[in-house]
Amino acid sequence: MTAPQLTWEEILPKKNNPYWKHADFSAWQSIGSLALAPTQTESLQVLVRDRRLTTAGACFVWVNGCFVEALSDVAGSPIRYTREKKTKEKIQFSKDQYPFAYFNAQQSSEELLLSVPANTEIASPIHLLFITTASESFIAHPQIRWSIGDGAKLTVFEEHANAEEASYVINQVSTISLGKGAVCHYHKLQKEGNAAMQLATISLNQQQDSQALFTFTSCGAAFARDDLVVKLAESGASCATYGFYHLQQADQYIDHHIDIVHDAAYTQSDMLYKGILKDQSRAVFNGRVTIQKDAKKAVARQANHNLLLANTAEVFSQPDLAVHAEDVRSCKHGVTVGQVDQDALFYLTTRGIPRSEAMAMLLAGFAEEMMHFISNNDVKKRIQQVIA
Amino acid sequence: MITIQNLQATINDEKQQTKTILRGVDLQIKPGEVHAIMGPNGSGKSTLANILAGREDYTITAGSVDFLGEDLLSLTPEERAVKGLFLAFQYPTEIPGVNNMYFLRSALNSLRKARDLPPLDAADFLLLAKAKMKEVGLPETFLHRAVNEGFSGGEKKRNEVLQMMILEPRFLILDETDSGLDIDALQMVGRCVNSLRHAERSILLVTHYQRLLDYIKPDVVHVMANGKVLTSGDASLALRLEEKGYRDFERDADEVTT
Repeated sequence: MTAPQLTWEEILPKKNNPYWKHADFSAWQSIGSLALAPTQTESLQVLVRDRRLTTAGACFVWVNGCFVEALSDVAGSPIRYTREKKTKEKIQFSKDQYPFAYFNAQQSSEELLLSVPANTEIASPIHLLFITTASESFIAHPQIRWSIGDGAKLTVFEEHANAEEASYVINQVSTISLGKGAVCHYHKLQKEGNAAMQLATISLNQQQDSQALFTFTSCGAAFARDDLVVKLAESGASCATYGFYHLQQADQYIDHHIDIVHDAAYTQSDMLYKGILKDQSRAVFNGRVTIQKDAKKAVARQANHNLLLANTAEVFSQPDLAVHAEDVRSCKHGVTVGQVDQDALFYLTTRGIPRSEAMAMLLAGFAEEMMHFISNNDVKKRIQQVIA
Repeated sequence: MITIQNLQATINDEKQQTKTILRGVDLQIKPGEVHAIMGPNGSGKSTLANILAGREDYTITAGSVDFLGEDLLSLTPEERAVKGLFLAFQYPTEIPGVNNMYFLRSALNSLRKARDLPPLDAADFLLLAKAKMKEVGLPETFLHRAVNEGFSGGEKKRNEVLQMMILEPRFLILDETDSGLDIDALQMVGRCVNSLRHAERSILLVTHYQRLLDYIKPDVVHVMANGKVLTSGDASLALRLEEKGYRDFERDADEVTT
């Protein structure tokens, strides 16, 4: 299947698109190539070995956005994988709301199917390692489809940690089906190169009593957008998602859109996103929760807290709660935008701690809340190293 | 140790009105001395303590403070701490997400670094912290909590005293450390402060009540009201104050000035 070549004009959402109203695509026109980058994999064995987590579980490797089987290793884990050639299918994403996921479906020729058998507990985290080696711009559309069986338990660590200066685009789509009573902890670390664009859509369907927990740590890329689309399809399903974003370069843009639909009774969702912004950076939090008519006794919480370190930084925060059920247990939302607590800063400095160090302690303290939700120490350490 | 001359300070309130808080404070504390400042609410004694520690909310309009031969007011809070000044806060700040032990060790090692001493590693620090925690009556679990977060009033005060015991400052100011404490805690504060009494160390106690002075005997007592030191005397002044109340002193002072 050869995908039709598109131009940015055709792909990028229009100015009046409500799902993309804060995004500024002016820099995108300068991205040269809309093709894949060549993948040299011979020299990467050592790099991959160094980057593996110490609790070595399965590791799947992408180089310049393309899955590289030769570098991947299931490491005795019960996870199964198959590479499937894409056939023409109906695209599940709306072109208007998810233009990049649509673009991904149209362009990608292969998807990686990862399946975890029912009632299987995988102790070591499954590592999805994305490496960039290209010095020229490229675009890639990785596609992953998870099938997680009833009662399975796993932890996933998706890591994008690159320092390349090229203005590449990673446009990723992951689809997850979580079986009855399954538990999935999913931790994503996004530290792309300074000129990179990263777009990622995770679409999750949850069956009865399944539990999903996400953490999104974002501090890289010039432009990053994460869409998390969750359907709590059956009773007792719960989804918690936590985000921490730290924008450190001028004109950096990080956007989190979360859309959780409670479709059944006794479903629960929890959203907590915290961010630190510097210079002229801009962050977007858009958390939408819909509680459908039959989703009685649902519980939902949305919170977004921001620290602005410069008055030129901007944050657009929109928690959005639509309740159609009459009998919900609890629905709350809250947003704050503020500055570093001056009293706390003073307190630390009166003990002899230099101001810059005190500031770093307070910022790390702000991020700490999310760290509680990362139960695997290996993953936690890796994330803490990047944001420190 | 410290010489305060004609110190005057103002603050801007919520309505951006300038309010004068200190109207010319004079105070001198020699090495080894323990001084107590007593005074009614709003007399400016907590402001004085905070200005000495370097809080930036105030504007100094006149006066000077010499601390160990240096112009204290030109130093940042951390420089003051490095020189040996320590304020035990009346209302210690809660700092979510910052581990208490990490904070205490960072503080001690910052001071050690400034004095060209090698840092204490985690194991050595833990030994030190455990010993000091026993002295102030805080369970070890408090090392693993966030700084002051969710601590009761008494626990916060004990955490202040703990910092004082670990950092061993040369000049320590206790800003109403006694308020809100039960008798046991008060005795602990007394014990700890007395253990720090030393010929090279000075102590300034800011308090409302005489009762702290039952445990820590001051060399000099100052009565402060309306932004000034009205009168100074020995420990017996505190007893007379307790008997007569502040009003008589304020009236006497008014008569002197008019």
